[in-house]
Amino acid sequence: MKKRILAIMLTAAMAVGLFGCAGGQTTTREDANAGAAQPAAASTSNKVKVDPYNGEPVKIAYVAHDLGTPNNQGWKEGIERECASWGNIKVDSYSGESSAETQVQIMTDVINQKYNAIILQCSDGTALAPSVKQAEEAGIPVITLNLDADTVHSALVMAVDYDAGRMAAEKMAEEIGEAGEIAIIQGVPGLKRTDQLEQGFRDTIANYSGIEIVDAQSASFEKDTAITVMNSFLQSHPDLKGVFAINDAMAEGAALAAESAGKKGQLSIWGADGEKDALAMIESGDMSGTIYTNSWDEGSTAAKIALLMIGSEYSYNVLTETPKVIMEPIVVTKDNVASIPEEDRW
Amino acid sequence: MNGINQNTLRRLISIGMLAVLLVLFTILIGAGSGKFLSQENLIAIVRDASVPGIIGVGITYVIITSGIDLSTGSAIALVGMVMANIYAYTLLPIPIMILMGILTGLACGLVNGYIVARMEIPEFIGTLATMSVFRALTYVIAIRDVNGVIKSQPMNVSQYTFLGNTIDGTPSGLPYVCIALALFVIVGQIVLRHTRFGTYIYAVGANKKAATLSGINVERVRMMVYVITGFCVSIGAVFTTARLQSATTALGTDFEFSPIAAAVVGGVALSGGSGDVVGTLIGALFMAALENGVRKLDMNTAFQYIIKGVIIVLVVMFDATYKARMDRIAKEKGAKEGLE
Repeated sequence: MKKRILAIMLTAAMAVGLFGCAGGQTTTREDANAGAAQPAAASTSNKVKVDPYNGEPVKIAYVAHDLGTPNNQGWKEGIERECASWGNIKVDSYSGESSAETQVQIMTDVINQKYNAIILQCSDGTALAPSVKQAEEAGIPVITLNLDADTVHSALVMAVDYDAGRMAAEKMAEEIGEAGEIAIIQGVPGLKRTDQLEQGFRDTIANYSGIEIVDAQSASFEKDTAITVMNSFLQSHPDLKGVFAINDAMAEGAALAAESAGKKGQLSIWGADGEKDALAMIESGDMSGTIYTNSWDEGSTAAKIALLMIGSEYSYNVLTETPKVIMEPIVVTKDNVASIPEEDRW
Repeated sequence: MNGINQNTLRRLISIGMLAVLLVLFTILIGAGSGKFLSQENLIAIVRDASVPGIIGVGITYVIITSGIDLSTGSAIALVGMVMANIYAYTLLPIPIMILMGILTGLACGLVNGYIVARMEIPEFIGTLATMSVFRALTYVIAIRDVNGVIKSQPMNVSQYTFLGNTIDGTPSGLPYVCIALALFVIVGQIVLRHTRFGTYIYAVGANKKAATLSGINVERVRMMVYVITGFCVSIGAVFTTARLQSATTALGTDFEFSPIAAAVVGGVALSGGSGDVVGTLIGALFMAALENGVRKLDMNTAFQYIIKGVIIVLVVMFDATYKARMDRIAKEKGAKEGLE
C-alpha cells in the first residue's frame, strides 16, 4: 500500500512537470524582495581607476565559451595582440568548456582574484547574469563578446545578429529562385545572439511565399553533429533546396554531408561568422556563402574597451542599458570571397 | 591482519593527496588575497565541491553495493527542467516547486533502482540507458518560444535564488550549498556507519550471495541506494539552478562523472564493499582544488583532465592490487587451515 501511494505521488510529480509544456503562455512571478534589491543607480560602485598605459600592473580575464573553437581562438588572439605592446598588461584566458556552470565557477574565481576587467562570452545569458552583476558590483567592468548577459554591464561587442540572418535569407532566396524547401541548423538554445540570428532569418523568409522552412534541428555549434543533422534532413526532405546554419562550423558539416550524398554544390548552404575554413569552402563551391566578421578585430575592440573602462571613473551603475559596439558585417559569396585578404582570415 | 587496515591506509592516502595538492598550489601560486591560499578561495573550492559532494553521498552508497550510476548529470537536468516548467507555467509557491523537483529526483532514482535491482540489468548499461532517457525527457519538456526554439528559462525570484547565494549575501561569504554539503556528509556518514541499513549496504557490496543467505533483502537495498542517489541529485539540482538562476537542457553535463571520480579518489573501491562518505568528500575537495589551482597556473585546461585521469588510474590500481593481495593472504591462510 505504502509503495502504491509513493508511486502515485511520483507519477503526479512527473505529470505536473510534463503538463507544463502544453501550457503555452508563461506566467510572471512576483519577487518578494524585489523592492529591496532594485535601485541599481543607488548602489555604490567599488570601481577603482587604474591607468593601464602608465606601467601599473593590469590583468584582464578572458572567459571564453569554449577555447577549442576557431572563433574563440580568433577573439583570444585579438585580445592578446591588442595588449601585447604593453608589458604591464596581462591577459589570462579561461575555457568555459561550453558549460554555464563551469563559467559561473570561473567567474567567482576571477572576481576573487581581483582582475581589472573581464571579457566574457556568456554560454547562457540568464545563468551568467548574477555573476556579471557581482563582478560589476565588485568594481570589475565586464565586456561581453557576442554572447550578451541578461543584466546591465559595461559594454557588449558583437557581430550583427538579426541583420546577419536577414542578409543570409535574402541571398539564399535569390539563389534558390524564391521557391522550395529549406531547413535551419541551430546552435545551443538560449543564446540571445544566435536566437536573434535565427529570428532574422525566419522573419525574412516569411516574406517569400514560395519558400518553406521544413525543419530546424540543433547541432550544438559542432561540425560533426551538423553532419548527422544534415544527413537526416537530406533523408526526410529529398527536395531540400537550402540550409542555413547558425555558425560556420555547422555549415561546413552540412556541406560535407551534402557532398557525401552526391549533392555537392547543388544546395544553397549558408553559415555565419566567416572563419577561414568556411571561406575556403566558399572558394571551392562547397558552401554558398557566409556573413563574415573579423574576429581578430572584434577581440581587439573588446580589449580596447576593457582598457578604456579600467582607466576611467565611469561605472556601470550610471547605465540603464548595456552600451554596444557592432562589428561590420560582410556578405561573402564566391564572387567576392577573394576580396578578404589572407591576413584577415582567422 | 598484519599492520594497518586497508580503510585507514586508504584514508591516509586520500588526505595525503589533498594536503600535498594544497601545499603544492600554495607554493606555486602563493597565499594572500586573490591568491590560492586565501579565505575566499578556499570557500570557492568548497563551493565548487559541494554539488558533486552532495550527489557523491548517494553515489558512495551505490558504489559500495558494487553498482554505478551514470545518469546523475542527466537527472539534474530533468529535475531542473521540471522545476522550470512549474516556475514558468504555474504560480505554485517555491517550496512546492522544490518538492516537485525532489519527487522527480526520487522518481529518477526509482526507475534506476527498478531497472538495476528488479530487472537485473547490469548497472553500467541500465544507467547508461537512463542517462540518455533523462536527457531526452529534458528536451521534451524544455520551454520553447513560438518558433519551437528552446529558450533558457530564468528562475530569478529572490525566494529561490537566495539558495544559490552566500548566507550574508556578500561574494566572499559562506554559501548555503556548503551547509547542505555538511549536512549531507554528516547524515550520510552516520547512516552508513551506525545503522543497520548501512551495514546492509556494505554486506551487499562485499558479497551478494552471502548477504542474501544471511537474510538481507538485497533487491530492496540496491533499489534504496538508487532512490537515495535520486534524492541527492534533486538537492544538487535545486542548488545548481538557484545559483544559475535558470534551467537549461545542458544542465549537469559537468556532473556526469565528477561524483564518481570524487568517490573513487576518496577511496570508494569500484569493486564494492569499501569506502565511506567522508572519503568521497575528500575526493570532491581534491577535484575542486585541482581545477581551481590549474586555472590559476596559466596552464592549458587540458592538463587538468590529464592529471585527473592519471590520479584515477593510480588509485584504482592501488585498490585492485591491495585487494588481490588481501585475497591471496586470505586464501593462503585458508589453505593452511585446511579450508580449501
